[in-house]
Amino acid sequence: MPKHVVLFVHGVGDLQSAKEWQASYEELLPELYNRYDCSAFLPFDEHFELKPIFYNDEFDGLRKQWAKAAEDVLPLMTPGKFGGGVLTQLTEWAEGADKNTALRTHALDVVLYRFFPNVAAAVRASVHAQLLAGIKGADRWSVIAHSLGTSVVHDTLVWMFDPNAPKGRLPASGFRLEALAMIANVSRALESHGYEDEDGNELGARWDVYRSVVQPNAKPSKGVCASFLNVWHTWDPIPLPKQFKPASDWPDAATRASEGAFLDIEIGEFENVRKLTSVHDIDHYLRNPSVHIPLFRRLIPIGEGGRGLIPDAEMKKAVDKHRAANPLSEAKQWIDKLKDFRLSDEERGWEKILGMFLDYYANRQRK
Amino acid sequence: MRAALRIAAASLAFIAWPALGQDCKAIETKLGNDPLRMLQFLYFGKCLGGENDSESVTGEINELIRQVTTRAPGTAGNALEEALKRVSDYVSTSARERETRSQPLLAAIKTEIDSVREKLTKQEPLVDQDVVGWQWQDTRFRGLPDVNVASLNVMCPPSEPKLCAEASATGKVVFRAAALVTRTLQLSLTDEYEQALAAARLRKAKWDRYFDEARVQFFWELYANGLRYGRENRKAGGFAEPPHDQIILLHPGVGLEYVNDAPSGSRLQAALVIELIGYNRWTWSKQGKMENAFGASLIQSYSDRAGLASARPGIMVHFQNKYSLAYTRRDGVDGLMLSIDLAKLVTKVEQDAREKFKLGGRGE
Repeated sequence: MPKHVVLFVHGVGDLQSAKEWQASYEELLPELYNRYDCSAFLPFDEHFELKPIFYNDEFDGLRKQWAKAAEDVLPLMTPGKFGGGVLTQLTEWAEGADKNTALRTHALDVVLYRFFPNVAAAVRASVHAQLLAGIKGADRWSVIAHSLGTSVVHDTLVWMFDPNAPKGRLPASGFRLEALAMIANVSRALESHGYEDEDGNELGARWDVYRSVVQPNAKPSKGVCASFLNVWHTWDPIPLPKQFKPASDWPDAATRASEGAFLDIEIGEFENVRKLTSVHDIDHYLRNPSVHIPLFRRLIPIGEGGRGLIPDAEMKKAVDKHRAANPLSEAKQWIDKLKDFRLSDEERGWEKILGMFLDYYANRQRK
Repeated sequence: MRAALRIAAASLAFIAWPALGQDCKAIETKLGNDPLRMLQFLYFGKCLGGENDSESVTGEINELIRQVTTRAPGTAGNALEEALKRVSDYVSTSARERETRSQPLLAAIKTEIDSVREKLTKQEPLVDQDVVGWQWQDTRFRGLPDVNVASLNVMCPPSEPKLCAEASATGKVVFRAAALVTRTLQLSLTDEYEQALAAARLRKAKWDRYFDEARVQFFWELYANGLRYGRENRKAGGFAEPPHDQIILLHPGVGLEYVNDAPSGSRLQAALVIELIGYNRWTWSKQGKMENAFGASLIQSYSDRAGLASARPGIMVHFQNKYSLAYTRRDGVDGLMLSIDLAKLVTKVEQDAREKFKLGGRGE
C-alpha cells in the first residue's frame, strides 16, 4: 500500500550505519504521533513509512583510506632517516584520521563538506540516489533533515529539481515533497558560491539558500515542497552563525500568505538534559510539541494550517504539559554554559565557526 | 444536540456507504457531523480512491492503471486516457443522484478531469494540474482553484441531517475522483522516475569508484583535486560530472626496488617512494566503470643500501589505478621499482607458473 514516506537525513556525528541512525527516531516519531486523537483514525504504521538516509560512510571511507595508506608507509618514514619533515607530519595526521574524536567525527565532516567540492559532490550523489530509491511507490514524501544534513539535503534537492540540472531532473509538479523540515538549519552557513556559466555569468542563485528551488511555493508546479519548516532552539549554538532567516516575503508574497507554507519555529525549552549537546540533538527537538505538532500538521494537511488533524486546543494542552515538565528556571545552568558558544548570527569567519563547532562537540560529555 | 447530530450523521453514513473498511467506518461514525473534516480523514485514510475503498470505480481504475507507466502516446496512452475517461464518467453518473446545490462543485471537478485528458491527448504540459495539483492540502486541491469545496463545509441542525448527507455524498465523489486522477497521473510518470533513478545511481557509482578505485588520495591531494573539481563545477553551474583524472602530489608509498649494482643481498628491498607530482586519468564507461586508467609520476625513492645514495629520482607509470612500475637512476646506477600490488601480481604469476610446472610432472 503506498504510504507517505518520510526520509530522515542525519547531521555530523560518529554514526556507524543507517541502522544506528534509524534507531534514533523510528520509535520516537510514532510514539509522539500516537499521543494525539488523530492516530485513532490514521494509524501511524498504515500511513507513514520512515526511512534513513545515510552518508556518513562517505566520510568514514576517506578516514579509513587515509589511515590505512598512512599505516603502510609510516614505518619507512622514520624521522631522521628519510622523513621527519612536513610530509611525515601530514602522513601521521592522515593515520590518525580514523580515531574517534570530536575533531575527526564532527568538525572534519563539516570541513570536508564545505571545503572539498569533490567530497561534497560524492555525498550529494549518494543522498540523491538514496532519496530517489526511497520514494519509489510513495504516496507522498517528506524529508526531516538535521544539522549538516540540512545543507546536504538543500544541495541534493537542487540536483533533483533545478530546471538546469542534467539528465534525471524531476518535475516539481509531479514529485515535489509534502514537507521539508530543516532542524538546526546550517544550510546558509555551508552554502557554496562562485558558480558561473561559460560566458562568465553568475549562477549563484541556483545554490543560494534564499534563491534556489529549495523553497515552498503556493503554486504546485514551483518550489520543491508544499511546506518548509525551519526549526531552531534559542540556545543551540550550531545553527546560529549565518543563520537561516529569510525575509518576510520569502519566497514570494503569495506563498507566505498561504498558512503553513513556511514555518519558522523557535523553541526554548530544555528537557532534563544530561549533557551539553543534547540541545542540538534531533530527538530533543522532536520531542518538543511546538516542533512535532506543526510537523504532523504539515505531513497530513487537514484543515486550515493542518489544525483539522490536531486542533489548537489539543496542541495547547501538549505544549503546556511539556513546559510544565521542563521549567526554564531549571535550565539556567545550561543556558549559562551555552551562552559561551554563541556567535553572531551573521558570523562569517570560518575559523571562528569551526572553532565553536569543535569546542562544543569536544565538550559534549561535560556534565 | 451534538449527540443527536452525531447519531444522525453516523446512521446516514452507514446507510450511504456500507462497503468501507473498519477504520473508514470509524471515521464516519466519529466525524460525520463535520463532513468536510470527515472527508479529509477518509481521503488520507485511503478510504476514497485508495486501498481501503471498495467502491467499484476504484477497483476498475486500479485494474486499468496497472500497466500505465508513461505518458508517451501509443505506449500506455490508451489506458491512461481510458482511466481518466472512466473517472470523468463516474463523476457524471454520480452527479445525477445529487441535489442541485452540489452540481457546481461536481461540474468543476469534471471540467478539470476533462481538461487534463485533453492536455494529455494534445501532449501539452499539465503544470499545476499535474499530480501535486490534484493532492489535497488544508482546504483545497492545490492546483484546482476552481474546485471550491466551501459547499461541503456545513454543520447540520438536527432537523436537517440531509444537509450533511448530501455534503458527504458529494464530497466522496469529489475526493475519490481527485485521488484516482492523482494515482493515474502518478503512475504515468514512472518512466520519468526510473530515468532519474538510473541517472542518480550512475553518478553515485562513478563517485564511489572515484574514491574506491582511483589511486588513493591523501587529504592534501584530495584538497588539490577538490580545487580543480571545484573550478570545473563552478563552470558547470554546480552540475559537473565526476572527474576523469586526478593529480598526484607528494604521495608517499611503498614499493620493491631492484638495483642490480647494489651489494649482493640488498639488491631487492622495500623502499619508500614519494611521488612528487603526477597525473592519472581514465575514461568512464556507460555503466559508470573506470576504464583505461593510465598515469605517470616523477618520483624519489628512498632506501638504505651500503655504498649507494639513499635517495634516487625516477619516473613511475601507473596502470589500472593499481599497478605501478618505476625506473630510478642515480650516479649511473639504474633501478627498477614495482608497486606492492604489481609485485604481488608478479609473485602470483611466478607462483602459478611453479604450481603449473609441478602439476605437469616436471617438478621436483
